[in-house]
Amino acid sequence: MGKQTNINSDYREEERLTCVLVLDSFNSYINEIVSHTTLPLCLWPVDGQSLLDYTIHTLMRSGIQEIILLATSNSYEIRTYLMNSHWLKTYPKLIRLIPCKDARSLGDCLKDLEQENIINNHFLLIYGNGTLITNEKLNNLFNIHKENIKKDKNCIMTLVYRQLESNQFEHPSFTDDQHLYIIRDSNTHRLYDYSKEYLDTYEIPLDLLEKPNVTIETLYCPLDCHLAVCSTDVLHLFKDNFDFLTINEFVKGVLRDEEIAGHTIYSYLYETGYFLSVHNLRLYMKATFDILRRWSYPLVPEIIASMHKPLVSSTVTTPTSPQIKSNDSYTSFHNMSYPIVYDKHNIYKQGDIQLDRLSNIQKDVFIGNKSQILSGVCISSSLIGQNCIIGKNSRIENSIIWNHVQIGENCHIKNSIICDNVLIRNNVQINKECILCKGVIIGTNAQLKERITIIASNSITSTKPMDDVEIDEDIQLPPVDFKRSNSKQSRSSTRLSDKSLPSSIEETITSNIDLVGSDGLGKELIFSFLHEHQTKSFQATSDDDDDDDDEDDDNDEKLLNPFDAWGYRIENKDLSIDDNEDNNERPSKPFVKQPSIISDDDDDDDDDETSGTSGSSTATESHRTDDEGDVSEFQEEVIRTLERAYLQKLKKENIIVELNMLKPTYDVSPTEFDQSITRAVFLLPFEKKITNIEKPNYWNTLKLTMDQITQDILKNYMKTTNEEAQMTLLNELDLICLKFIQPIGERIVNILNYLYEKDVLVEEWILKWYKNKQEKIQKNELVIKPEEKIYYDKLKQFIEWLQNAESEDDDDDDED
Amino acid sequence: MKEFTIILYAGGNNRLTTDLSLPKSLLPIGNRPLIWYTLQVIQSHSSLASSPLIILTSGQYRQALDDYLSTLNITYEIVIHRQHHDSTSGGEDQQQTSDELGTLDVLRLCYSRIRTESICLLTCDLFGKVNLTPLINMFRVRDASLCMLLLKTTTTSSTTGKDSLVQPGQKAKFTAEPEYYTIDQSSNTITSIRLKADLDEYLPLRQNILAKYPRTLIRTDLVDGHLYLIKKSCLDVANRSTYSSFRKEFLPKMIRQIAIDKPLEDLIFPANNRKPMMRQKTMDLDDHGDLSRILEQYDCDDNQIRGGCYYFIDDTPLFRVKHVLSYLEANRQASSLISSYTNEDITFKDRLEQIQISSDCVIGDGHDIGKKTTIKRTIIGKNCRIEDKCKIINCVLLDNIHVKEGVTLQNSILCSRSTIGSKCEIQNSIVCSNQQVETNKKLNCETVSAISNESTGYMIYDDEQ
Repeated sequence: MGKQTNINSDYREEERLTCVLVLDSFNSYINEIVSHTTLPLCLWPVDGQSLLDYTIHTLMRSGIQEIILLATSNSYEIRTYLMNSHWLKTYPKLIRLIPCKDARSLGDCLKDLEQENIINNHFLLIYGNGTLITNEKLNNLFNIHKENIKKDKNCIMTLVYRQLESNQFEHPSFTDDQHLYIIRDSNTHRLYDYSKEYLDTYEIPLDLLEKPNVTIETLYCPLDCHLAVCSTDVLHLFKDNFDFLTINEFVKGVLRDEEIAGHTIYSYLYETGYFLSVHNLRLYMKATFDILRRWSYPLVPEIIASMHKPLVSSTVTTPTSPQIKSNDSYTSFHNMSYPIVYDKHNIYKQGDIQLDRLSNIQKDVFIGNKSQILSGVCISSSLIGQNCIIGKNSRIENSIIWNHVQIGENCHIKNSIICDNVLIRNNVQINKECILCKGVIIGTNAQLKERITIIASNSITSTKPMDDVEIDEDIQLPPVDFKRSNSKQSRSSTRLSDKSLPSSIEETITSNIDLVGSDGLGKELIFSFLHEHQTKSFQATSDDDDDDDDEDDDNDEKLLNPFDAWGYRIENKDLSIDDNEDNNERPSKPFVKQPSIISDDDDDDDDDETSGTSGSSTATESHRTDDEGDVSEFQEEVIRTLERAYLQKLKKENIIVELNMLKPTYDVSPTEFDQSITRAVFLLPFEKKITNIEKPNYWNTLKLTMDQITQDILKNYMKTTNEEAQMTLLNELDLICLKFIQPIGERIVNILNYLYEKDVLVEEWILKWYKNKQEKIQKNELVIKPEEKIYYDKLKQFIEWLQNAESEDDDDDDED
Repeated sequence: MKEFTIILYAGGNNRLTTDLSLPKSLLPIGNRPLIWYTLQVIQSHSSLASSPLIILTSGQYRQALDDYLSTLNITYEIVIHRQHHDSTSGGEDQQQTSDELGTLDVLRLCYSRIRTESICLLTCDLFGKVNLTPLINMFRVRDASLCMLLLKTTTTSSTTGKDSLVQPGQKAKFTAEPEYYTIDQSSNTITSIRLKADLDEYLPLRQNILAKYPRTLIRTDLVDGHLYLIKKSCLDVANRSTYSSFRKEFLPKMIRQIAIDKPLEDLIFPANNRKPMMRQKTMDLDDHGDLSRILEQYDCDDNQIRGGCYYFIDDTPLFRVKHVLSYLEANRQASSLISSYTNEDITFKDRLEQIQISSDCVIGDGHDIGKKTTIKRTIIGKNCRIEDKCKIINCVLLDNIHVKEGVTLQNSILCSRSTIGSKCEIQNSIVCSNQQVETNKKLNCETVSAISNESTGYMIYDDEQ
C-alpha cells in the first residue's frame, strides 16, 4: 500500500508514464482456438499467473503509472479477471480498461483510444497481443524517445527491438511472424525502410547510401518486442488514415509519405535483457518455459507469488471472493495465490501437491496446487496446473497443462497445450503442438498426430453478443464498484458454467471417433473462416447488408493473417486462385484437413452459414459453368486489378494497359472480355477492401468506385458507338441484377441513371435493349420469378422516365 | 617454415614524369622512393620482416628496381611480368585499381614460388605508418580466410590547409569510384563489397547473407588499403579460376561465397544454383540450437573450417599514393614518417645566409640555392639549382631542376630535369620532366608536358594493383 501512495503523491498529469496494451493478436487462427478455451490469450496461465499479470508486473517494475488496456471481443473476460485480481485493490488508478468491441484491427483499437481523448503525452504501446515479458526497465524508453524528438521534432514513434545474434532462425524466440527487415541510420537510429516481406534480395536505394552523415545499418529479423513509444500524433494518424490497420501498415505508410507529412520513425535496439512478446501459441509455450528456466528473473514464479501474498489474505477477508471462486474456475485460478516453493533443478511446487515418491520430476517443472502426480510419472519442462491428476507411468514433456485436467496411465504427451477440464484416458499418445481445448475427452489408446487442435464444443463462448451488450455499458464505468460488478459476475459465471456442462456439449458436438477414440469427446477444429472461404465473394452478396459487414471484416482479418496460430508462415497463399481450388488450397498447411465429419456438423452458426450460402453459390456455379475456367480466373484478375486501381488511385490509362495485357494471358474472346469487365465493375463493391467502412451500402460504394475509375473503364471498352458492346454491357448488368436482386437489382434505377448521365450508356441502346427484352418476355422466353418482380418494376420505371426525358429533350430542341 | 610469403606489386607506371625508366615504386617522396616506405611497413612487423619477399614488376623496371633494392639490406626476389603499355595509358578508369593489368594473371606467374600457408599481398603505394599487429593477430586468431586493411577516405589531406587542396595540374576532377562495404561490426566481418559502377539504383542485400549477419553497416567512407592477408587455399582457387583481377573480380566474389557458406570452388566452375532462403527451423522448444552453435564455436577440437573475411580499419592517417593530391600530401608527411621509422631527421638543417628555408623542408644533396630565396613546406630533390630571389611554397621539386631568378612557385610539382625561366609565376601546376618553361610565363592549374593532349595528366601513376 505504501507504493500506491507514492504513485498518487507523485501524480502529475504531464509526467504520468502511460502504457497502452492492445490485448488482441488479431490473428483469426488464434482467436478461433482461443474461443474454445474460454480464456483470451492474454489470460492464459503462465506459471501460476496469467500472461497479463506478468506483463503488468513488468510494467510496474518499469515505473509505469497508468496502464490502459484495449480489449476487443474478449473485454468481458478481461474485465472479470481484472475485477478479481489484486491490481485494482492495490492500485485503484493504475489500470483502466477500454472495451473496443467492434475493433477488428489494431488501427480500430487506436481509433477508439483516440476518441476517448485521454492520451495527451507520449505513451508506451504494446501491440502484438499486448503481452510482453521482459526484465528490462522500460521507463528509459521514454527518455530515448524524448531524445529523438529533441534531435528531430518530426519523430513520432520509436520502435523497440531486441538484437538477436546470427542464426536467428534457430532462436526459439523467433517465429515467422516476426520476420522483419529494417534499414536505419546507425548513428541516429532513424528508420528508413521497413519490410515484413519474404524476399530473396532486399534493395537499398543508392541515393540513401550517399546521403551525407548517414551510415546505413541493416537489421534483419531482430526480435520484435511489439513495443513502441508513441507520440500522440500516432493516434491522430491512425484516426485520419483508415487503411492503417496494423503497425506494419502504419510504419510503411509513414515512411512512404515522409516527404509529404514529414513524420519520422526511430528505432531502439536492446542488446541485452530478456524480451518476449507473446503473440502466438509457440511463444506462449516459450514464455512458460523461459520463466521456468528463470531467463526472465526477477519475473519468476516464486517472486511473483510472494508479491501476491497480501492478496491471499485480502481474498479471505473480502466476503465476496469465495463466492467468485466457487463459481468461476478460471478466475479463481489466477486469483488464488498459493506460496510457491522453488526447488533445485527449477522445480516449482505451488501450495499442497501430492507427489508420489516414485515419480520422476526432472527439471523446469511447475506443479500447481492440489495436483496429484502418481507413481512412475516422468515430467520434464512442463507446467501442471491446479487440481490435475497425472496417472501412473505417464510421461509429459514440454507441455502445458491447465487446471482440472486428468491424465490416465501410460500416456505420453509432447509439446502440447491441454486446457481446462480435459480428460485423457489411458495409453494416449499426443504428439507435438496439439491443443486440446476445454472439456475434450481423449479416449483410450488414441494417438494424436502433430499439430491438431481438438475442440469439444463449437460455441464461441467469448463473443456472444447477447451478453456483451449489457456488459458493455458497465465496462465503461470505472470498475471500482465491487458490489455491482459482483452481481454481474455471478450472472455471467452462471452463463459460463452452463456452457461447460457436459450435457450441453453433448448436444452440440459430434465426436470424431477416429480421432479421439470411441470413449472420447471432441473433434478437430476446422477454422470457420477457411470453411466459409469457399464461397467468399458470393456469400456476401446473398445476405443482407449487415451481415455483409461482418463477413467483410472476417475476411479482412484473414487477409491480414499470413501466419497460423503457432506463428508459422502459411505458404502459397494466393487468394485469387482459391476460388477454383477449394480442396487443394494451402497444401502445406497441416491442420486444414477436411474430415468427413464436417457434414454431420449440426452447429448453429455453421449451419446458418452453409445454408445461407448454398443457394447463392449454386446460382453462381450454374452461371459459371457456361464460362470457361479461364474466363472466371480472368474475371477474378480483373476484379483484383480494379480493386488495386481503386485503392491506390492509379491512373485509368495504366489500368487500361494492364487490362489489355491480361487479355492474351487468359485467352478470352472479345465478348468474354467485355462481359468480364462489366461483371468486375459491378461486383467490385463486394470486395472487402473496398467496402465503405462507414456506410456499407452497395450503391454508395459502387458510386465511389464509378466516380473514381470504373466509369472510365466502361467508357473505354463499351464505346457508345459500338452497339454490340453496349448490348453486352446491358445484358451483363441485367444478369448481375437478377442474380443479386437484393443489393444490385433494386438499385437499377440509380445505376442506369448514373451510367446514362455519365454518357457511358446512350438512350438509344437502352431503349433498344429494353425492347428486345420485352419481346422475349412476351414470347415467354423469359420467366419473371416473383422475387425478380421488383427489379423489372424498377427497370420499367426508369425506361418510362427515359422516354419522357427524351421527349422533353426533343421539345427543348424544338424550342431552340 | 615461414608463415607468410609477401607479394609486393611494384610494376606500376609512373605517369608524372613521362619518364619510363622510373617506375612508380621508385618515385621519390621526401627524396626516398615510394617502395622504401612500403618496405618499412613490412619490416615493422617481425613475422613479415623475416618472410620471403617476392616483388613483381615489369621488364623495363627490373634494372632500376634491382639497382635500388640492392642498396638496401634485404633479401628479395624479383619476378618479371610483361607489361602492356598500351592498355594502361588513357584508360578511363585508371583510378580504379586493378583490372587492366590482371593482377591475378601476374600472380599466376609466381604462384609456384609460394610455399607458405598464408600470403600477404600488398602494393607499394600504401603510405603511412601501418600497424600490422592487429590485422595479423586477427588473421591468426580467427583463422581467417582473408583479412584486409580498410582506410577511411577522410584521412587523405585532412591535415592540410584548405588552400592546398587545390589540385595541381589541369583542372580535372578526381572522384573516387564509391564502393559499398557491408560489414558486421561486432565481429569485424566483411560481408560484401560492391562497386557503385556495378549497380543501378539499388544496392541489393541477399537474404541469406542478412540471415547470417543480421546487423550490418553499409559504409561508404572506406577505401581498400590493398593489403591482404590471405590463405593459400583461397588463393589456389583464385589461381585456378579464370578471373584476371584479384581486387575487382575475385575478391568480391570470394567474400560473397564465404558469407553464404558456399564452397569457394564454385568460383572455378560457376554453378548457377541459388541458395534457397533460410527459414526458421522447426525444432522442439527444448532444443537450443543457438546455444549449441555457440558452444561449437568454442570447441577447439572441432575440425570445421572457420575461415571468414575480416577487415581492420586503421585509424592512423593512411592513404594510398595514387593521385597528385595524395602525392603532395605524402611528401609533406614524409619527414615525420621517416623519422618515426629510422629516427633520422631528413629536414634541411643547414642555415644559409640570406636564404629563408623553413624547418619543414627537405632538400636533397648537391643543392645550389641562390640568395634572397624563400622556401617553405617544400621537398627538393638532388642536384637542384635555384637561383636568386625565388619564392617556393608548398611544392615538390624532383631531381636536377633548374629554377631561374625571381620565380614564384606555389603548390606545384616540378619533375626532374625541368627548367623554369626567370620571373615565372607558377601556381597549382605540374611541369613534367625535361620541360622548359619560358621566361615570364604565368601558369595556373596547368600541366606542361611533352604530350599536349595528355588528358589524364592529373594522374601521376598507374595504379597497377
